[in-house]
Amino acid sequence: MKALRDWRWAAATLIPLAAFVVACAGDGTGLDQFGNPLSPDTPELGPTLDSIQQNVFTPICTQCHTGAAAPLGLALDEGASRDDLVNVQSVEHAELLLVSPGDPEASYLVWKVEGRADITGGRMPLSLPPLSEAEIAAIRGWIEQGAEDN
Amino acid sequence: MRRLIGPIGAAIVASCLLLLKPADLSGEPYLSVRTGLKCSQCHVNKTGGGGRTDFGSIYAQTRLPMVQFGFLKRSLNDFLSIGANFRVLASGTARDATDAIPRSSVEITEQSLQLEARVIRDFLTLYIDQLLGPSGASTREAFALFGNGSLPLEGYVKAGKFFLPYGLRLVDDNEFIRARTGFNYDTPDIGIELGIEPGPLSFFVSFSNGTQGASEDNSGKQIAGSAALIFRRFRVGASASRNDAPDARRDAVGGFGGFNVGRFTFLGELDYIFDSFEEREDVSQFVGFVEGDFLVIRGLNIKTTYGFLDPNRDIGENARVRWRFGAEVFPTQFVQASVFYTLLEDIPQATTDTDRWGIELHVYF
Repeated sequence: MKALRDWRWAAATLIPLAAFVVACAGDGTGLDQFGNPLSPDTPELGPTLDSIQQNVFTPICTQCHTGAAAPLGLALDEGASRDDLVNVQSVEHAELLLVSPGDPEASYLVWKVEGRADITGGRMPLSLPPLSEAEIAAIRGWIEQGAEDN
Repeated sequence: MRRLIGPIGAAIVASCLLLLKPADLSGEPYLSVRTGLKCSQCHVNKTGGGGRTDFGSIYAQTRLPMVQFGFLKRSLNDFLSIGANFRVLASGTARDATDAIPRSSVEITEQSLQLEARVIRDFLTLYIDQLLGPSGASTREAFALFGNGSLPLEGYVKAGKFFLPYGLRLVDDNEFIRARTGFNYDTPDIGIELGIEPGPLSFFVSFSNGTQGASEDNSGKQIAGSAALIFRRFRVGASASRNDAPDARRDAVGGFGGFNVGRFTFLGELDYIFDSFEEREDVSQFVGFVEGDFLVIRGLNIKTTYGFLDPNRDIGENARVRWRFGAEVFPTQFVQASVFYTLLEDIPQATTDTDRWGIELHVYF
């Protein structure tokens, strides 16, 4: 009898809960695959900071790495990304820099977006599609050319 | 032996019947709601998570498992206690929006040791939670705890590196309410925390660097707090946080609660997150979480969770939903096995619309 009573009470309490759990995923109208509004003004992807910022950092990475609560203090907002990346020691792998100018192989940013086996935590962008080969190549190219503010 | 085979067999059968995502699971908040106990009852960190108190160890050995083999004290002596966590996870994709080849892996997801030194009994405790792996050692928590309930109003003062007090301390950092608010096991911060726990009240407030685990640059600080009224059958609480940085500020506010109905336990949390910037548009997010648990038999729990995320309230039709169905078994003390299945519902054009399965073994002490 007690079990039956539990089920009835549970059913009664589930109804208001179910009323809350009605929200579903969005239908994605007018959005790109990352959930951002489609924009015709995005510059062509290339190995420059401005291009990477507009094509990768701002639309993808700043979904989490933004503002005051950016994970591990790494904000990839426009105007902040280069200062937070270039010659900055990695929190997860202290022996590496996030971006080591001229050396993409020694740049932990590259390790994270490529999802290498030695990284700590998940491949970036977390819970989003991996960056495309072209996007990763642009980041590698920018670092190889000195990670300038260009 | 028949006594052993019965419940374990039932657990295995029930687990197989359920399609179950990988997640670290241990002393989850549902156990606190189910028992009507405060987090500080079972954890050295009074806001929950990490190493267990003597009471927590006794509870985990005598009340959680199906079968108990003897009893092991975590206290080496009056001065020192130890604890440990070890997790192995097998996981893989069950359905992928990109129709990619199914991927799976087996990995060690956690090796950690906890050390509690009661330097002055009931007044000063030193606590360290050290991650040894899977990829390099790091300190998750390290703090000095003054008072330990002996100050007025069951108060205490904590100083060092610790998890900030905000919301439900789910072990699954991928859940939207933990990932998006930024209060999770990956982001302990360095600061000071004050707390009081008189009667049914638990009130915590912390002042910290606000760097989410990164080194401090002396520019802006974070204040976070949580208050809850905890009763045997239900609890209700609220959290708030402000994190100032040179060019940006994050405010978060939320409510959480839970209740018991017989063998059922329900809990939930809602949060509103507002990021303001000097040089770009502000962004506001809304996240929600509901969990239902059913205690089938002692040592076997079935779980369903629902998470909702609106990542930018100014953009329409971009919401995401995350469901998780699972079961966890405590066959004996120190052992937890769980099997989970996670459905991520994203916008149709997203290539993250992936379902995952997971089986985890957690050995703890």
